[in-house]
Amino acid sequence: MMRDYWILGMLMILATLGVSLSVYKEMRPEYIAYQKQYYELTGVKQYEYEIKQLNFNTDSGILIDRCMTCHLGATNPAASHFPVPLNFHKAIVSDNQDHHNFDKIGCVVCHDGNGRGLGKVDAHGDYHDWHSPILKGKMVQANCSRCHETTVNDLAGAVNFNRGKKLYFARACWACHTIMGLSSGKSAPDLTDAGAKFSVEYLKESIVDPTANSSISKMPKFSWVTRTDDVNDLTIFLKGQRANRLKDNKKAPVEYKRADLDFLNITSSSASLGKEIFWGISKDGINTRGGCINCHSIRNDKGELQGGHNAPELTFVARSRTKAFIIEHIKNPKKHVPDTIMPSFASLSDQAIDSLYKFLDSFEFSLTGEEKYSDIHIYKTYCSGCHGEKLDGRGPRYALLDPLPRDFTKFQFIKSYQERFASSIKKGVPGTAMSSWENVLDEKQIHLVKNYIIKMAGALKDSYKRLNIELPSVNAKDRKPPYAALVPGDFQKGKIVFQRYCTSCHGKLANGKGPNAYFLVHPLPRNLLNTEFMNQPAVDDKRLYQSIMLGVAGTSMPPHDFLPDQSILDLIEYIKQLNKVQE
Amino acid sequence: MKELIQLYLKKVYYTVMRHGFDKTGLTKSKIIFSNLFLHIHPVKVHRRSLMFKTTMGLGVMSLALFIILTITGVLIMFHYVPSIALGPDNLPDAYGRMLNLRSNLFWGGFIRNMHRWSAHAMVAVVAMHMLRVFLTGSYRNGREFNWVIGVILGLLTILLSYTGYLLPWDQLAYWGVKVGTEIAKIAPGGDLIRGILLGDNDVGQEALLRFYVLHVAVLPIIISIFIAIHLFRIRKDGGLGRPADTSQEKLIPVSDCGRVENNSFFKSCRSYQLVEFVEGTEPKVNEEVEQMVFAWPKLIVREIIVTLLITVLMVIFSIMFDAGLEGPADPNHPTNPSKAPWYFLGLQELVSYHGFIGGVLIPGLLVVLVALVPYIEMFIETGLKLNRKIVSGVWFHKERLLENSIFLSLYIIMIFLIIMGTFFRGENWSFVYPFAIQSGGGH
Repeated sequence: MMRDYWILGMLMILATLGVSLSVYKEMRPEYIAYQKQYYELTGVKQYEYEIKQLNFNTDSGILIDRCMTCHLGATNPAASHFPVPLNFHKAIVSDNQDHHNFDKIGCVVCHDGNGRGLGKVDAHGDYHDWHSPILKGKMVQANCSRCHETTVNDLAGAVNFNRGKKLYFARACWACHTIMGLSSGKSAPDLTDAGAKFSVEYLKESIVDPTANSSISKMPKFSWVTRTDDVNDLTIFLKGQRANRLKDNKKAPVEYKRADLDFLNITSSSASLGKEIFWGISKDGINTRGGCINCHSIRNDKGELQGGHNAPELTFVARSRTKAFIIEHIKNPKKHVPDTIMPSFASLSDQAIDSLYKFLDSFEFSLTGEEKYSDIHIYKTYCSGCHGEKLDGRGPRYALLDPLPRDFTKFQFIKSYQERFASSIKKGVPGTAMSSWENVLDEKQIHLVKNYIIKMAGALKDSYKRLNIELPSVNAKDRKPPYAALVPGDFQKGKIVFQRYCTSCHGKLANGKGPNAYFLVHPLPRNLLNTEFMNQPAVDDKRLYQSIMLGVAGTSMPPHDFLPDQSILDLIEYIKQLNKVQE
Repeated sequence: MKELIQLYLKKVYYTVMRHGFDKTGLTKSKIIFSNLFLHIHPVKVHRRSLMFKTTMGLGVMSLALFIILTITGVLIMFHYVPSIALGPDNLPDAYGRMLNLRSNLFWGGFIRNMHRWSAHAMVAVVAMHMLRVFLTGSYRNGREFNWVIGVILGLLTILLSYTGYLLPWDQLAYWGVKVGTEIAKIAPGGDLIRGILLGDNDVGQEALLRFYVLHVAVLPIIISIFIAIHLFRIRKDGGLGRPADTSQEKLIPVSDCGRVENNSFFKSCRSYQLVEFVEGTEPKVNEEVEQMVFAWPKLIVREIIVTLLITVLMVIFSIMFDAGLEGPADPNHPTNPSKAPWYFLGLQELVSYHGFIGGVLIPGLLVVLVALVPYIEMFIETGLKLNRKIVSGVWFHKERLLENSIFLSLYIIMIFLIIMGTFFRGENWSFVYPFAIQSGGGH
């Protein structure tokens, strides 16, 4: 019995101690130590420990601010040499006319964090899912735009923010993204409220690796993201984009000028202007709408490659495409290649587009000397950027092309279709990134590179042979099942067959984005709405019939020999009808 | 004069307490039955019931946690507002109150920690209590229905914890509850229950209010009533389950249970002899009177020890670890992964394999099976004319090998699933190693 009483006694003492400890802990919050230290440093004898709260009434809501409970010396110039967190906060703009009065506006307005908090972790918002963790160092510049007008003005003191704004144009972000008042791109998420929605880390991560946060992102991985200062400045700029402001611009006390953002006004066309647009160089501090170089690459006359690897190389484009095509493609890229990620640059003036064409037309590089008739050099120079040095269809620029460049390692494909190669190289493939090479390469070169591909694919020695079946003629009675004569294909019946057998890969809309397409790698299911591709003479009924019946060798398209001929005829009719050009 | 004062004080004392504290058997029985709070205990208890290995104190612990939760809960109620209306600083009221509790309400953080950790502890302790009762076969021999009530109590505990989960209105709460109620959708009629519970198509102001009322009024009253029934039935069933003959067992010596003077009357009977005329087995008669000792002081002291023990544990835990609080609930930014409270993570893990089977069929079946397990056992025994002489209150009884193994394996599988869901699931519910650094989400 005594032992029980002992335990009882001990537990009672423990319980009392525990509860007292919890009370004691409440009575000695973190800030007491700081306040004590501060008053000792300043030599003040009479003081009380207190929470210093400031309610900054902005036009949209009150900011509760208790930061100066710990950051006591923030507004005391005598505290410049005090240790953190008691030290003096330097003027934001480094002249003597800084109008930011921290006693009035507090800290949260610029630094974010949780103004109510009284502990360090709590107050700095360093906990999971807090919507506005503290902004430190240069990142604070992102919050200038909560009160001040920054679209046009270059704010003094916000150096990195201003640089980020320049980069937004120079890096061609503007072409795809919308920020109200700055740009109106339609091919990517609206960034008008990016700062309120996303954290600094998220924004940074999404710039460096677009697929990190959204696995289906089509945003290119730019080559300049290795430059941390560029990424940081751009992040600061994006973090500063908020739809809801704390104050109306006009009430924020800086010299206020509001006008539409000026862009370089191009009234005449020349190759040198085109170069500036292509490189996105801002002239006299005025932004240029351009930046093609971020995705496209070009070769100078010595053959040195410069630029991004997210889109086809443009060195030969003026020779392999017509002028009309290029100008149309800049204005409305989806007209020729429906699945391209290239945004529309229709907002550029006609002179600007003409300048761009002139710039593209100025390239003269092509292989000369011994290399001119060396098949491996021809392939490496002209083809490998997309098709890959290993001929696997995975060159440096392959990933964002749609349709993907052909994979030449699939010898079954080469073997089956090699007679088409010469004309594909010569004339290009409509509806894809493959352009016509007959003005760049001569007959001999085309012949060499064709044979090189066939040789490298191993298509010579292999005994693989594809059947050559004929398109069944209407009224034929010898087809299986033999119950009736074939009749011309029917759109409605073809639609039913398509919805039953084809949608898992080609999708319900026939755009090549069925549920299974997600798991396929290379090549992806054909977008059957790619009118330019589907209406070329090479894609005739016989080819469609063979592709459906026998499958496409070396791709994921399987044979459909279980389908009756009548159904295939219906399917062909359905596909043809889908691509009928409306007059 | 001195005597007069003493006499007066004595008179006053006896108007309050109706007994002294001497060591006679009569006084010891008076202490128990003249006190509202103590008279749920019998005057005399079996020595076996006093031992730690019989119950491990889990039942008392659950009750103690419930009391802690009631006290801390009422204290929090003085401050909490179940509203998602935006305050002056653009935070929902309910969430703003949480921030206040943590940063500038004296002792608020500690009280909230106590409430949060005790709630988690209560779910765990109740689950362990159930395991103990099963493994000792204590629900047999007339206590079958009390098991069913126990299962209801367990469900009520989970419901209480779950309704409380939403109240802080932070991301964790919002998405945890969202996941839970989405699971409910799969069940037949689940949409209706979900609608009634949420009062809306989605988790919002109405849901917060309903969860709040359920949490602070409805469920506590219901669970109190069931606790009363649960304890009352233990008492009427003659205390804890135990073998009829315990003369061979090594028990706490009588001498360790407090000295008793003038015990002649109580030697031959448990309390008062009148009940022995009552027909039938209610209240319990014909027991081993010689194994009984007075509940005062041994039982009461031990109960207080268990209560204090869990209190001290909770206090220490609350001082050391702050209850989590995430950013304010934001319906536009789902957390990834969105996890329900830990006791539902086993369920969520199952749901990740198959919605209906994992989310409705298996848990539904489990609850029904567990609730009715005494009756299933009884049904089989009656049907097969088995006459198993299983005494209740014995750990791992040989003849209950099958039952125990089945129950234990189910229990372990459930724990495994919960551990799996808690530590090994990351973004998009994909497998991750615990404590791996997750890349930041939207915020």
